[in-house]
Amino acid sequence: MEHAVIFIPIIPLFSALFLICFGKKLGEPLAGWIATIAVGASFVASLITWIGVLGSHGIDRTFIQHLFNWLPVGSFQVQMAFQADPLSVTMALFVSGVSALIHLYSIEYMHGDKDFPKFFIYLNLFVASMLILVLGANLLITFLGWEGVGVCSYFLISFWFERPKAATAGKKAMIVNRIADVGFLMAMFLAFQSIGSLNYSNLISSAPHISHTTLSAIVVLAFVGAMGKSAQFPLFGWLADAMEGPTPVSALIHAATMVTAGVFLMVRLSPLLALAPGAAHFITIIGIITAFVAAAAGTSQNDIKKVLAYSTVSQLGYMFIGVGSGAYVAAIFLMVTHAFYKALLFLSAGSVIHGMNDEQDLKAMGALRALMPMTALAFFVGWMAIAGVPPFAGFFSKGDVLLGAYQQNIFIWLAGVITAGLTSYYMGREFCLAFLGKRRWEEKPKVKKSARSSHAVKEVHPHDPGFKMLGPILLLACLAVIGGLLNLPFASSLKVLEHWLAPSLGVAPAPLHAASSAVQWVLAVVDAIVALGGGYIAFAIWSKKSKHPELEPVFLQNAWYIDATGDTVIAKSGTKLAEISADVIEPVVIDGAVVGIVNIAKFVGVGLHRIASGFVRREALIIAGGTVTLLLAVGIRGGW
Amino acid sequence: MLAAQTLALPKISYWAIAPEAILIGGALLMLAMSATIRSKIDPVIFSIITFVTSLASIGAGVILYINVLKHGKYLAIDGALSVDGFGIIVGMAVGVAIAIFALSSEGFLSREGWDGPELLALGLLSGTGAELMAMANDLIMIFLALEILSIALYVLAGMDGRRTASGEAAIKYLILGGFSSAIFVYGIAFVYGTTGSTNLAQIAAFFATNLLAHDGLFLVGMTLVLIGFAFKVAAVPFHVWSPDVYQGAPTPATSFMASVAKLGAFAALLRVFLSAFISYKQDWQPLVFGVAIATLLLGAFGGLVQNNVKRMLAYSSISHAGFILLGLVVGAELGAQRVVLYLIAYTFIVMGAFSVITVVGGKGDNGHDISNYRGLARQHPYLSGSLALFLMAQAGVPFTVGFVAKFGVLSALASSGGVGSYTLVVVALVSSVISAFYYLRIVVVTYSSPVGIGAIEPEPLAESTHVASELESFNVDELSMEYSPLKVAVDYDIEEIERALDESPLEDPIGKVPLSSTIAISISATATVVLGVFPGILFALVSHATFLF
Repeated sequence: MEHAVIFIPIIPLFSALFLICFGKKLGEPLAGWIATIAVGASFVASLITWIGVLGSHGIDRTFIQHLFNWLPVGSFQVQMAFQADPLSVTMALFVSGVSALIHLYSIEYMHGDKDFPKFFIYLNLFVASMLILVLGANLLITFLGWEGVGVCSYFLISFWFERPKAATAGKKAMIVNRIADVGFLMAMFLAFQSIGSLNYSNLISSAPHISHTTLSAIVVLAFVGAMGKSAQFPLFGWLADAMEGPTPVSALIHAATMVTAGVFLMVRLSPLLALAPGAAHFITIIGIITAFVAAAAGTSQNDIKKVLAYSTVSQLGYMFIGVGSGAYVAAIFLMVTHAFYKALLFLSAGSVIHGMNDEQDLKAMGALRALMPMTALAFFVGWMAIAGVPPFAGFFSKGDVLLGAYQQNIFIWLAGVITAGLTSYYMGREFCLAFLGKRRWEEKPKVKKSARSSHAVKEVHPHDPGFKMLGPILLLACLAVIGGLLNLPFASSLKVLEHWLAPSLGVAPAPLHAASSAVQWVLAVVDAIVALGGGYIAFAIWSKKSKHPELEPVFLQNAWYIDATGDTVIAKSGTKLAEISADVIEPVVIDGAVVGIVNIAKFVGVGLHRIASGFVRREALIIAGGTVTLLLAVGIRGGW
Repeated sequence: MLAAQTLALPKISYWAIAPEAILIGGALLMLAMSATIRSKIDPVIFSIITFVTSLASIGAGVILYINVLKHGKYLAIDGALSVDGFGIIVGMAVGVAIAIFALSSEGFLSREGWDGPELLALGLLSGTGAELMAMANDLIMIFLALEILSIALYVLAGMDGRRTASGEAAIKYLILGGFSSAIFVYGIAFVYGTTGSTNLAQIAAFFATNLLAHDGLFLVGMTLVLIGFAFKVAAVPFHVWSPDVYQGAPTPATSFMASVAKLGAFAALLRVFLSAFISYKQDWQPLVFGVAIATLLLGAFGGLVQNNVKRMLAYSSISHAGFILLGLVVGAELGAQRVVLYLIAYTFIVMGAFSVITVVGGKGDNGHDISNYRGLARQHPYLSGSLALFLMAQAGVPFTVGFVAKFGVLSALASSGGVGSYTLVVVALVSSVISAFYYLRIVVVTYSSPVGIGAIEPEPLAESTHVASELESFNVDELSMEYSPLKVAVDYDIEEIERALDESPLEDPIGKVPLSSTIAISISATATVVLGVFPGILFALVSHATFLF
């Protein structure tokens, strides 16, 4: 049954190809349904594979399906092979599952868009790439998916490319990811140079035998790649801009796919990471910086999706804290639960945007609770889950990460807890601004109308969406509530995820100061209090009044100016370099060389012409001359 | 009375000469038909006869080939012919060239209203010479075959009585050809004088057992023989005839010179130097090395300044000759095999290209200026597409047989080792890049806008051999600017052009493409692609292209 692994990425891939050929003819909504069913089938294939993997035990739970020899170049052999093991199956399950729900949601959300079939082609390709990424049996297959995800994110973020901001955001995502990809590539080069193979199995078995420095370099370089995909400090600007894409895209990129790729890669390489404590420390520090910086930025955003974007960045920071402090299971646990509640939050936000006729400004919302009760409820659940209020999913998963951090370094734990408070606060702020308070959307006349949707209306009548949107939202809400069941900390037998993932993961060095059971209880209580406290503060401040400029400093609205700094330092100087290239190097150096060669060619050609005059006597003379030359050459060689 | 000496007649193995005999039979049949049948005979019939004859010749070659594979190589007709894989495979390639020639000539003959069998009959006779050269195992035999090949070609070159250029080409070819033949025979005389034989096997045997105390005379003979071949294959500096003759001769005849003549001459050149003269490899290798470099570079640079497509292809064929000579520089059987591979590949791409050129030439066989190719793609996408394919193949683009051919020769050369061989590889690659320029230039022109705006309007050259006119039409701007598609896009409103075209369609000087030409082009194109994608077929075939000695 493990053989079903091949179908997991193939089905959405073929569906995308099918839609490329026939999508236009099928049109709306058939194209959307086909895409949704394909991803659903992929989920079923993941289930079957999962059952297959469950059938074996321990180390046998790694099943590799070889398809063909992809790149046979001397000693560089890369197989096209997919790997079904607990880690990849877990990833495949939640990627395909959450993606299927987002597909279903998109059918209603994208209703009336003129490029409806195209949207689903991209979505399917995106999911297929992500599944290739997680199922690949070697670094290069993963990289294939990695790049596929990158390209599709470009297509999807700039899906409404008539809007200059969307087009720019797509380019930014692409460029930032490309920069980080260099790290991934170099990690692969180094791995191949030192180990001679890119297969995960070989990497893991050879890891103890290569030098510590090389190992650390591989891990750090791979992490550079992950920093781009998973939007870590300082490369997170693109993710906030990526909100220009349609909301289902934001949900897909943020919740289930793409951004989790970096975390997945690091967990996949955890057997290497476990041997490189310095690199692990580096990852933890980047993680905590990201988590805090992004959470702080999230407190001051006014775009309903931007808050969620920074929240995603912050949560990814948490995941890397888990990865860095050796709590690999906690990182995956947080990733899965985050997939549930972040998808939930995005889809609810999409529902609000949809109901408000593409309004995204929180300050122009308010009092939607009565008009969109189901959406409000769902958003509330999402808030509770991400804040880490017991017994919602986030409480357990974030608790595990913080426990791991505590066991490594108490200061990291402290920063994590403060960030958790911020998380609860900014989500509460968002909830209050959108669903509580006064109706503010009637204050300013609505002139902006949807450029692409056919159902644009002037009047705003917020309403709950139809079942295709609401269904996925409610299902995800349930998952966000009960997701914690995956890995309950109360008894060893309840740590299902931990036992299940163990064969795929590295064994991190034992924590410096292991937390006793009592300490764990204390930590959990602290977490809960902080979460509730943050939420209460938000409620107290924002539920009545929508303007507190002192709490929204400009530097946080601009996300600490990190992006602007990058823009000034790198983009401006890069532009300057490009200008120099265009104005000086191109015309003088390169053109000069080209024209020079042309001149030489001309000179030679004309010279040849002069010789070949076309008169027989001259030609005969040339032949005679050639004869004499050759005879002389033989003679000189012969020495007479 | 002297006692009557009985002349010892050699035993003639008719199977061994079946491919050649069939070609001669076909030629005689056509000549007899035209002499006896009063009414006008459609060129289609002659074309079909030629085509069938060439196929029969290939069939006989296949039988011979299978026989050789089963029972081994042998000498025939008193040692004059060597029946071995090398000769037979080259002979079959000649057959293929004649078959395509027959097809593409049909349209030409009908269009020009030539109703005699001469073009095709002479082609068959000339092909006989080429096949004999490939198998000949005696210098005298090679010379005879060379003359059979050449005399027919002289006539072919001058067949177009309406154009003075044709007659001029024939005279030029004849005079210079006679000159080089004299050099060749003189060389044979020296070789005979020093070794006591003209038979390649016996010469090889002589050198195996004897060491010449003074080998000067032999070296002179060897060099002269090399020059005789170099003239036929148009290697520099013995190439001077080829651009003029290629341009002047009727286009089917040009295709014949570019393919069949080179096949025969190269085959004999390889056989002589790799079997009989192999002991003197140290002496001839540097000569061939130098000639090859000169040929590669001149073939590449010379083509840059041409505005006549036939002239351009003359330089292209010079450049190919350079590549083939590289196989000789390798100096071993591997080199010979790769040369055979190159020759087969070359046969298809050059015949294909000339088939297109024959069609594009239009009535009067005059439309060979590059301006005649402007916008070809619009009216004849098939012609321009296949022309692009053949030119790409000549440039050595992967997934065409041209790439396989170049790769084969260069890899053999590189694996033969030595600093010199790497130098040659680099020179060959550079020349390949340079010559890509003029191939692509034609392609760009065929795909650019058909209306005469835009810079590419080199004045049509008279078929003169004046230096001045060609010099004037060439300038740097032309090279750097006018072939840029960007320029077209910037300067002209495409929609306007299209509207103008719709209103008054250009007259099409080409008209309907004859079916036979389409078949010829299709065969060549298919072979170019299939053999390019599956080169294993070719490599397997030429692995049997071995010499008897």
